Amino acid sequence: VAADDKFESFRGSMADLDEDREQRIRRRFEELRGPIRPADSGTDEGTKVAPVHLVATPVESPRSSRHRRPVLVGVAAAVVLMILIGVMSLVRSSGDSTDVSSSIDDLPLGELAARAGARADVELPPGGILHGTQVEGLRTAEVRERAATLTLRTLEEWARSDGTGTLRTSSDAIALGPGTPMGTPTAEQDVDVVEPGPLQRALPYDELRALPTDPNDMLTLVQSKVSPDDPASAAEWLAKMLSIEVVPPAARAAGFGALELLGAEPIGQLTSYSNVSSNAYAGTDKNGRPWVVLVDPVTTRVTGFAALGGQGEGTFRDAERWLEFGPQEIVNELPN
Amino acid sequence: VDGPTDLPELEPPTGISESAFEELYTAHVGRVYGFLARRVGASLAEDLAAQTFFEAWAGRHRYDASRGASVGWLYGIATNLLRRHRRREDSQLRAFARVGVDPTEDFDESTVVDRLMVRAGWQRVAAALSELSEIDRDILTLAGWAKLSYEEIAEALDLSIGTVKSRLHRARTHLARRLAPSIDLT
Repeated sequence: VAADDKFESFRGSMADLDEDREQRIRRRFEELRGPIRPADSGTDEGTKVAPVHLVATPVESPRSSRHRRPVLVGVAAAVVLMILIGVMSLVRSSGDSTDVSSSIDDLPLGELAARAGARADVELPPGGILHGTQVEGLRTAEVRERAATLTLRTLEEWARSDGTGTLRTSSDAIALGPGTPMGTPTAEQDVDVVEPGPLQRALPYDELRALPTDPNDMLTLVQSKVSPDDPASAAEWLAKMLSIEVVPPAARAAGFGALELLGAEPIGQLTSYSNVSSNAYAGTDKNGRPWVVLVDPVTTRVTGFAALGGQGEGTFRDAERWLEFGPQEIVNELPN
Repeated sequence: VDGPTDLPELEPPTGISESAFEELYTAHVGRVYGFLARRVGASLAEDLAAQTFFEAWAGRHRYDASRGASVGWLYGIATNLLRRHRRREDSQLRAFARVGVDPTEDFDESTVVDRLMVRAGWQRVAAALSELSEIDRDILTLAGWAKLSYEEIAEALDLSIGTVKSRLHRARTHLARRLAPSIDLT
């Protein structure tokens, strides 16, 4: 009881909302919402969301028509696909994206796992520093004539095997349409990282190198890291792990196996914000809200992840967050 | 934490009219802001509170009162927005635990003495919070700070009531263990 009381009074003085703050919140809310037109009163027309500016088209696999799946799965996949088109791409794809081989665009996860297991192992040498970037897109809803706001943030990280290194974060950039540059990380915001965990704190390097090689064990480990009844969080964790180049091949294979255990299925190709086409593997959480993992089938490296969050039924406006993982390299020095 | 809140509940079974939404806003803006401020500080909380109500407004046609109280729905939106700032919240809590000064607080000389007097206790709370998983921290703060019931937390976080109860118990146990040495000193 004493601990509860202590906790409940923690930062208690911050909870007070004075008049100035209340007015600022109201102003900000009305800026976001826009004026209410009299004609809209009592209707919901103004809140309908159509992904009209989201136009990338997934590549239709020639093989997919030959492998007829149960109707329900097909319908679910179509719904997921329509939503994910909105999630993953703000760029009009006119065929100029970087296509990977069309013959492997719906590679089953089992085959992807086999490919991952056969790839060369990449280790961090003594003194080596793993360097990589991650772009995060955060979306607000589209309301009436207002386009959805997409905020981009780039994280750039240099990590030694002991987990120390540097984390550099960009200022947020508001994307207003195709071609808007992503945030550029600047040295002013560098943070010295002193905790273990190469690249976005996935795991300490030693643990990355000792990850399970059995899909069931991998899933058990993941579910101990996130909520066990939250497949989307588990998939995101796996996606981050599978984006890291220094994860051993056998663990990569187990990671794809774990994604399959979570219910992921290939849904063709999708184009990311930076116009890279990848294989897409989608699953849903217990409420039917989809998540997707993007994979380069040639390198078996995960290139992106997106999840639908928020409340509601999984319509496009709930697609509020995606991650895109940039290339990684091993360097010898931290940034200046 | 399982008692009813004293806030008005919304009546429409599906969707919320503009007038009902206005009532919702007026009734809850203070508490939603307070919850957010205690998680990430006052400045960011202002923006997140506005965004919470904007998201609620944009999705008001999908609101289904038959699924539960409106309170859970609203805090679910707020909690989702908070997740975008998880890294910031973590670093603030760790800094607080380490040096005893809350980075989310505006500096005010008049409060320094008060803050120092209780800092041992607060540091332990910050440390305990920083050690919780995201979901356990959400549950604990929704119960302790937002005063949501089990049902409302379950709705907000899309979890079963059983999961909420067991995780809340675990989080409280963790808190009690972490705070035990400091209670006699403060």
